[in-house]
Amino acid sequence: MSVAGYPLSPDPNVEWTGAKRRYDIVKEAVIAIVAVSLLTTLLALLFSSPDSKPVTIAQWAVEAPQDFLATAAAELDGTSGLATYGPPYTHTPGAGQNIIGGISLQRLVGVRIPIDTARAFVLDPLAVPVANDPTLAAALTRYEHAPRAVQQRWATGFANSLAHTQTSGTSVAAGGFGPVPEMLGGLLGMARSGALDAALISTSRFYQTNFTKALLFLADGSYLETVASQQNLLGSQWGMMNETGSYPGQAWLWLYTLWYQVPPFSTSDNADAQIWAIMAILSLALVLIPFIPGVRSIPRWVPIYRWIWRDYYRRASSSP
Amino acid sequence: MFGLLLSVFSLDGRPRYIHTGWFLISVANLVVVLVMLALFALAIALPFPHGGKDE
Amino acid sequence: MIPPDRTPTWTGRVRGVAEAALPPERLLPDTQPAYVASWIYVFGVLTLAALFVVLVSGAVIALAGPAWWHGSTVGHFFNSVHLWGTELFFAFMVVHLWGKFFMAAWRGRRAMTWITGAVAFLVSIATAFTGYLTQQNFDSQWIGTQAKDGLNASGVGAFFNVLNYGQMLLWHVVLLPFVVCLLIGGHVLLVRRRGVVPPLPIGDEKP
Repeated sequence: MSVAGYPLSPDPNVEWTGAKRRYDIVKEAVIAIVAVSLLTTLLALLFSSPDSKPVTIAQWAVEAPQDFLATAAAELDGTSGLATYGPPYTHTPGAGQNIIGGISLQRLVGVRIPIDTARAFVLDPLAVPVANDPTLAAALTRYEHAPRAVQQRWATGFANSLAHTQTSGTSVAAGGFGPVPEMLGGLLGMARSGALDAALISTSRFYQTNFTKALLFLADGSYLETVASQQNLLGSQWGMMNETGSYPGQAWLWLYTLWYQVPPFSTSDNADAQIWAIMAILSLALVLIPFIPGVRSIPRWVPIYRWIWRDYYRRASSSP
Repeated sequence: MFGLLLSVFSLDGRPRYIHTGWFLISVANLVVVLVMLALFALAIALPFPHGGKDE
Repeated sequence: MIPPDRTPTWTGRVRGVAEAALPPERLLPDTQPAYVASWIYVFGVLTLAALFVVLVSGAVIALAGPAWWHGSTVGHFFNSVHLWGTELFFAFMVVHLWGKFFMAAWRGRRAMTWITGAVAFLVSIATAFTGYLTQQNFDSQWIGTQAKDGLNASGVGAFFNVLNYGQMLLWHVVLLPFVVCLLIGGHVLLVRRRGVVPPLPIGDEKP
């Protein structure tokens, strides 16, 4: 039997007219702000925040020149990850992930950030050093005037030979690949000097804020990934949740990254599209919990509420 | 002179992970999750003071 | 005062609706229902407080620009406050979410309160994500080059280019915080309007 002011079955649809208590909302907010400010300041002083230095293309070219050359050759002959990526970067037939069957939002949206990998990462940047290097200029001219099939043969041949060629420092093995070794040797030198970092960001405009080309080029190589794996940031290492060093990361992304660890997603070429579709559905479900039968009844089945409101229930059940 | 990092405990060192089967979590993230669960449990379990007479 | 022609103005109508929905005693009450007596109830205001710390520290960083903190001890401190404020923001918000779920707090015409809160959670994830992208360090490089695949696979990446620093910075500093604050503002006003949800019935009694 309910006690006055403490109904056992209060109606949530009507304004509360039962027992009330004193409440100071402004004081509560001020106390919370002061407490959280102090706690945050303490955490910041104790633990600081991570700031791992970014990888530059110069660093990549110095520390992993063979990987740099292999990547540049693949961009030139159109076999790199980016060159075969598909939308939004390249028009590669059939490329792009499917959510289910042949349905691909990636292909539906199409190419919106077009990148010609040979031009963007090799031919256009070389316009800088050729101004002062007649030999390199001649090599570039020879390449540009050759038929497409010949260009492809040179670039692909050189890319294949890199796997069997010892490359160290600035010297690049040459042999039957036309002007490509000269060109990529020039590109390597340009990269090591830092000029390629700048070239991949610059456009015809003065001010720059877009690092798309530089980052895509870095990501096409293995060096960036090597640095990431040392910090346990790879997808296979639940990387989405992690942070560099021993800092806490993004624990709230646990469900997003969990799918990547389990079959069939862990070995699927369409993992990204499938997982994002699943998470879109689950996120929508989170938002719409009040309308989902079963899920909205869980609070009644798992009666944590009896603990939360134990004091109220005790008063409501006590004799007047 | 002060370094760039004003930190008493440096968290820039080698990260530690707990790895069982396909499950992998950093110690830092695990601590955060455990603290959150503890906060939730304590928030429910700890008695709330009654500051004034109920009207 | 109604103008001489007695036709309500737009302003008058808006004021009337606002006053009906949120009279002063409801907007800034000094009493609350007796059942609001658990520490779980403080996690909403703790989340708001953490958001306040995040916004203020973010504003301080914005004063000197996104590259400041890499070469300044003071700047790095405020970056740390911003990071730990964000960690606390999510921690408090999730505990608040757990509490509200187990209280079935959407009852009694409070579905929109739940919805605005859940959407704010999701938009906050996007806001934190763009924050990581604008750090200008290795983290930004890695997170950007990895996240692009998921976003490209869903078609979003063609418009929301995580490798475009300028775009991500503006989304992080301007667009997303505005949306988060709008959602949280609406969420808090809805709580004031409907009141805190009363206890679930115990025994066989239905609400």
